[in-house]
Amino acid sequence: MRWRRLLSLIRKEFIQIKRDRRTLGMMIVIPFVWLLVFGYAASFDVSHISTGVAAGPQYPLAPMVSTLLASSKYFDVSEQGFATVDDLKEAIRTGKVSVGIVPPQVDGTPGTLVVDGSNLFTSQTALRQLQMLAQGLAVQQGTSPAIPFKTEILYNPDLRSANSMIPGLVGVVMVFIATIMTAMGVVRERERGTLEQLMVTPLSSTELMIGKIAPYVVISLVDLLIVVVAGVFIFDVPFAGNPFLLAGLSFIFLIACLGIGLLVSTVSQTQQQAMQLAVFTLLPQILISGFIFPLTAIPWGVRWIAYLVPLTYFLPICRGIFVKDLGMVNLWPYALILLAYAAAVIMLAAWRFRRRLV
Amino acid sequence: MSPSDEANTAAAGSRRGPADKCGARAAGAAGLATEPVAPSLVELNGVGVRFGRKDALRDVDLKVEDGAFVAVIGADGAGKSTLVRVLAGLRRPTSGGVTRSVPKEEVGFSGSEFDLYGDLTVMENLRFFASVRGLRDARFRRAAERILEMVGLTEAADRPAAHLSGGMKKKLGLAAALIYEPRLLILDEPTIGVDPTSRRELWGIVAEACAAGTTVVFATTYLDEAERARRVVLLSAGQVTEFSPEMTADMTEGWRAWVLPQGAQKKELRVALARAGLGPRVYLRQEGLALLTHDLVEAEELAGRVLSLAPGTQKGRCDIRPAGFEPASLEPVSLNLDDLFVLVQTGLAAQRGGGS
Repeated sequence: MRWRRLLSLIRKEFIQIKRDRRTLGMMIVIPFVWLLVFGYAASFDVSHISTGVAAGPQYPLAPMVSTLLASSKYFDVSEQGFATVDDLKEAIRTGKVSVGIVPPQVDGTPGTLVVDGSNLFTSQTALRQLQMLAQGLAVQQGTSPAIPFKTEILYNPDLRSANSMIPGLVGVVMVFIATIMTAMGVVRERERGTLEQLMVTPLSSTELMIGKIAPYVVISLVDLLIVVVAGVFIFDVPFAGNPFLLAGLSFIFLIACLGIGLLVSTVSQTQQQAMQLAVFTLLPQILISGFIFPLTAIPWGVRWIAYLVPLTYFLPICRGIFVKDLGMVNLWPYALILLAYAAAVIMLAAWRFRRRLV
Repeated sequence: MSPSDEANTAAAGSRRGPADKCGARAAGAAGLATEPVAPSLVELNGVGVRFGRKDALRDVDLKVEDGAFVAVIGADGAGKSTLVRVLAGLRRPTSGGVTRSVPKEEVGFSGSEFDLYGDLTVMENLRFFASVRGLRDARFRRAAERILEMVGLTEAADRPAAHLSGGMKKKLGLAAALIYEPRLLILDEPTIGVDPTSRRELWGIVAEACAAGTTVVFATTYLDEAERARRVVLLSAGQVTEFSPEMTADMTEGWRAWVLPQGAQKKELRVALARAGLGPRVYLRQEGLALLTHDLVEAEELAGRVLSLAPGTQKGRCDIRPAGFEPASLEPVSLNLDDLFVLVQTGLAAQRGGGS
């Protein structure tokens, strides 16, 4: 490998990236947009649930239940009176309230929680919080023994979504930048005919491959830094682990993503095809790698796909280092799988890349 | 990247190439000359290239000698681009072998389309393609100054390549291929989509490079351009036919060319030609209506048929023609490359003597 030749190619790539303001903007702005989306908007922490309480004469405990609910930050009790269960259901249907509560009877008949099943997170939070309130009430009234244990939540005691999403976002942003940008960068050369000019130069296929992906390695690592710094300083996500370990393992993950990008470029004729194919590989990574939904919640019929994508192995690494201060002692199985994955993908991509050249 | 069957016996030593090798060859069959024996830079032996079920090249043998100036001609889809790409090392043959004695550093290539970076300036393009071949710093600056002056792009050095005109882009392509003084320059349809002035300038640059010792191979569909080369290779249905005086004489044996000089009424002639449907051996050229026949009688008959169908001719009366048309004015001319091209492409070259 001739370093000066390679540096000439990398220099040319950087000039082109610098001139392509739209793409450059995308590579820098996207991490920020995603930070906002996943840090603020895509929050699963539901509070201030608008709540209706059935308060007809047949429910003498209604005032007490309303007071109890109002004491919780999770429920905003509607001042509108609902006489019956049917009134509550109608209010939920029309969106006046999100949940309805029918108070228990004095004779011990249990109360009812009516929730809108189409609003999953709200329903789950309401159910969980109401159970906790009921337990508290029971203890207060001495009608049932106290709960024999207390809850201790590790690492994320407030159960903030940001503390789980932002470390995961580190991986998602790198997957996006590395896969799409690499695929597009290589296919652009082919589409514009400039790849032929590169092929008649003394650049070897390895130099060509490294020269094409090197700028995206740098940009992806800058994006990683943006997400981590913004996560810590803007979203107050605690960074508990070793930043160098995160950087090192991120690099291995990055190679795997770049390999996928290169593979996509070898089967695409146009940038449009490359974009479509890259998105095709990205969607399962974002949806079923455990970034949003827990892996264990995904049935095996689909879950096996998750084990084919590198993000599935990187998420435990970045969440582990970020939030739990895990070290290589704990993370080595994931690191090993990622290393093998990266080696296999980059070798396959290099082979395909070389074959496509001539 | 190199195919396994491709031997890279990179040659060292200075560029060679007598300037007289690049002189334009005389037009017409009689002017076709044989190439003197010289060490070959690239040699194709039984090369075949297949795309799916279609053979783009079949069993092609071709030697490109040091200092040669070779034109590859053929109709659209004949395989010209594939052949020059095999020569440049851009396409791996499906069968056969390529022997190369020129290292990649010394091969320049320019495609039929603009294939440099539109978002880089003229100078940045030159710097990149020079630097990956080891030409940097002071050597690059000297070379860039020289080549920009040669192609007339000195003033445009800082302009983005995408903002150049079609002709300027072609010149930049040539400049990028010539800046490191390649031993072998391969051009695929170098003047396609370029105005006549730029064409002339481009050929001037190529001739200059050739005179300086660069071996040139180019593909073209323009036969007047092919006549600039010292050696012409015709590609037809994926196979090459080398043009030499002997072969040309053999191919054209029994055929004669005639021209009905008529510059003023080409529009009418074009309409009449389309109506007559006589095939490619009766066609329009600069001087007028050209006919390839075995004798004058046949030529007069064909010319009469065309003229009878010209707009303004009284229906069914061949003797009444628009002013200026007169079959008797048919002039015998030498067969040129256009005629050869037609005869070979249509398979008529094999039909000698007798009727057509």
